[in-house]
Amino acid sequence: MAQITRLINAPQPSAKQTFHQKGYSSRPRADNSAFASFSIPEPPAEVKFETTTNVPDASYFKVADSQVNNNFKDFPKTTECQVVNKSFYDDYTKALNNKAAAKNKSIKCEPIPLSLVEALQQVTNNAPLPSQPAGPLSDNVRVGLDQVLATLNKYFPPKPAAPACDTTKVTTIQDIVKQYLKPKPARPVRSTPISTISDIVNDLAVANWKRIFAAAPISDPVQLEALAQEILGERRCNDKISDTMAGRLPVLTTSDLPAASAQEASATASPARGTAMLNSIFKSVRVPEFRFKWQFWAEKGQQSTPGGKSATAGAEEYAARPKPLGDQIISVKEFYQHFNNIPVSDLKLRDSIHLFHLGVKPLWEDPRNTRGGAYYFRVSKELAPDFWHEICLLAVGDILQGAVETKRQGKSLPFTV
Amino acid sequence: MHFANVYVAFNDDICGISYSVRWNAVQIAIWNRDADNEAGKEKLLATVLEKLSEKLQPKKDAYWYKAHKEHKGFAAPGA
Repeated sequence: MAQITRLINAPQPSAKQTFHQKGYSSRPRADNSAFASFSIPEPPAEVKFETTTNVPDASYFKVADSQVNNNFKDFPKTTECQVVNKSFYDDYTKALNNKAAAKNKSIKCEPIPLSLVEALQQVTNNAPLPSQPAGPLSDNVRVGLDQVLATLNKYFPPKPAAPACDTTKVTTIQDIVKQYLKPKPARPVRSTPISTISDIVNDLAVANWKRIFAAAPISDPVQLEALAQEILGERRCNDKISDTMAGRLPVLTTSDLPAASAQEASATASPARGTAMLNSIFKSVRVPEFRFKWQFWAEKGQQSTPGGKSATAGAEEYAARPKPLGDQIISVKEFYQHFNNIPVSDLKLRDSIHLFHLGVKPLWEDPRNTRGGAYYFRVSKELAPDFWHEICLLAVGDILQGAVETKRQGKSLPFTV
Repeated sequence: MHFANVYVAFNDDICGISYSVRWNAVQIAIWNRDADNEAGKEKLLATVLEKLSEKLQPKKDAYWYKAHKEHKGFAAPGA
């Protein structure tokens, strides 16, 4: 006890000082002998708070920038087309990290292509393709490259009339690459303020690819595909693929599966992808709604005959008016939430339960009822709950509606006001 | 007031259903909107008798149709 008291009363100036230095406001208390010492203890000197975050910051891009500019001086500011999408970007940063780790260990390793442009340049220089970080490139990288090619196809749609087999115009892949790599000094000018790093990366990637292909107006998809395969280190690019896939980029690489026929392609061509697909799934598993909205009503039995209704307007009549029970019923879920909680067999003499379309009162005098009528069924009290259940289901299930809903084209009746 | 020449489009409809406790039985009603829709009424009854379970089939004299305005207590609006 004495120890505790000593602890509480012991002044801790350093901790308090730190607390206030950090900008926290501490309202002074009247009795500050006990409370003042309750301050956040100072962390030990050797503990350092480091900000660790999983989100890559701009330093990655600085590394990439310098790296590329060192290797590739005649192509200004080529960070643009390095990062195409998130997955591609992840592999890319992974490669960077591997590179940094290798550098720290002072192990000399092959340069990893940081970007498509760098890879293109290496191909141009007839340099051997560098070894990949871990085996062949992952599917993510391949998907990223496919997306690049899809973007290219969007900007430069393949021309069907173009002589795809004309090999005299373009001789080798290296020639194409050289054409594509003609530098353009102008940088794209942004008119909108830069918001995020990924915005910059995306915009620059698009702008850079536009520039590349503005420099080389020839965009032969077959050659592009060959180029892509070459960069990926895939030697499977041969005449067969070029012939069958002419004009179709990107290519789905399957091992030996036959290509989908036109019929199969049309059968699987659903527009729903990603979020749209999820939404459509959620929609299909949701409880379907009734065609009409319904409402349960309760009516207390009248002791007097309804004949005196207009004459004896009063509290009794008001109490006898039907009252809505609960909320509207839009699906079988709400229906049974109500139905299971209405003890119809316990109702007293002349009490009534109604299940009506939303907006229609269970009164003869409701505007939608004045010209109508009703089928009445006299049912024994033993059978009544089951009978009522089935009639309810026929009603909400639209069976009864379908019976009276004939194809009369708006039969006209004299309208009496 | 009575406007004899005003005609409006009027389609039949199910308005609702009722469960009413009477002295020694329960009266269950199916309300429709147009008491003059003979074909609809006929089809409605046929549908109900067809869809109801075997044990719930009503006897011949246990059901009837009645227009609301034929009830004693019916207070015609505007009348």
